[in-house]
Amino acid sequence: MRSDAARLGGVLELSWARWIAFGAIALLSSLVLEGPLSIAGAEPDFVVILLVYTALRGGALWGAVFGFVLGLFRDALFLVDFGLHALALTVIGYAVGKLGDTLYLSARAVDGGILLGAKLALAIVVLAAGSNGSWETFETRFFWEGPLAAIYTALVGGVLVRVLSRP
Amino acid sequence: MAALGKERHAEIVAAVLVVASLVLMILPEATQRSFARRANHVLLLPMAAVRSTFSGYLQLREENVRLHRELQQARLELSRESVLRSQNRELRDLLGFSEGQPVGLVPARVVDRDFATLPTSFVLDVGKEDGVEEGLPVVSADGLVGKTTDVGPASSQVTLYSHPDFSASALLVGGDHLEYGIVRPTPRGGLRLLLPLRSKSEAGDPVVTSGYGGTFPRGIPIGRISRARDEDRLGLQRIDRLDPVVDLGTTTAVFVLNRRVETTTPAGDVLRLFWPGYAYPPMAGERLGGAGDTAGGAARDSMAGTLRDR
Repeated sequence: MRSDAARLGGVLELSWARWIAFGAIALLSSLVLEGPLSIAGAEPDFVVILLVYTALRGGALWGAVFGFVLGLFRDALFLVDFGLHALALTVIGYAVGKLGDTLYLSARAVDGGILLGAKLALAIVVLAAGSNGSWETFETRFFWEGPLAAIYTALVGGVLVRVLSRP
Repeated sequence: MAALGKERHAEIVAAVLVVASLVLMILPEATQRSFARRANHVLLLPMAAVRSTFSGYLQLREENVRLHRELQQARLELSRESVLRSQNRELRDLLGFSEGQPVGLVPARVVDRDFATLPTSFVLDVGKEDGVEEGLPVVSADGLVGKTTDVGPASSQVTLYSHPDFSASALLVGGDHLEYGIVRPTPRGGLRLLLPLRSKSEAGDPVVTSGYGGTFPRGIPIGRISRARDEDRLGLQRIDRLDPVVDLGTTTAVFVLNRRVETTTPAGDVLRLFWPGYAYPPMAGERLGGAGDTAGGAARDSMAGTLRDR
């Protein structure tokens, strides 16, 4: 369990007001900014950013609930494989929350690393389902989109939290 | 103990949600679509307005940037035009022409010439893009230079009065009479005026374009008689020698008279261009010697005097 004395920064520092602002910005950005912020086909995933930081702050329970809701939100956007994102994000939210509860250290770099891993995990699940068992399709899409999008998401998430945690 | 209960609680909730997700995934496609549409309505429609507003704002920003760029471009072009206008004014001033001339003038620089001792053609830096066409008169502030013969988009070739093929219908403004003739170049770069044998021309008489032939309007100074009756041709025609008013060797800037600019401009306006204050242009075949013809006589004297003063 992380103790307050061990905190070196990160999403846990945000006040409730800033946390709500963070959630609203991330949710709106997932609707309007992901396309315009695209670089070489890679987009920052604001849903994952919101989920990971929620799970880190709220724990496994909130992670799972938020993951399910955000997954439905994403499934409603895509209208294919309904339930897939809900499943993946529920598991990721729960896992990140559990990880956050067991980590001794909370720092922005650690949070960013968790964010990167969560985005990669989501990409694996979604692309595996979307490639219909074709390894070549999965391999091509994952290595083309996955790492770059994960790094991009981690960077954007880190910047967003850093901006909002300014005094 | 409480923490352990909370963890257990989280595991149960997560398990339920995973099962719910799996149920959603294995539902028939029609039901899935129905759920998706409902979720879409509940979750996304409230945000659609915000999204639309934000997208509109982004589009406005892009449009603003584009319009700003276009404004800069327009300012740049305006600046270029201002520079061109300034150059135009400088050229006009240089050549002694004032603004508001009665004929269309296209100022031009001589950018090339044939390298004979006596030039017979110029290349100007104006062309069709500037309104120049073939067969337009080319003048300097002093008088006739030649006519355009080969016009490209941005350049024109001028056949000078010294070119062997050049000829122009001319009007001799004599002491008490006007006579028509033809001006042609001499091999040595001068000009000669072919007149009827009975002509009474004298040295010093000014010669201008007559306005006949369709190329040169009336009144452009060509030169003045330097040697009257230089030779006879078979006893039928007399040939006078002319001193051109334009020195082709030192000419670097000229004007093309663009008649298309003001198609209604009468030929007499060209006279005003070279003879400011001259109110009565002499007409072909007019006799100005009569005692009562004071206006014509005064006009002739004014024109001749102005040319001599140049």
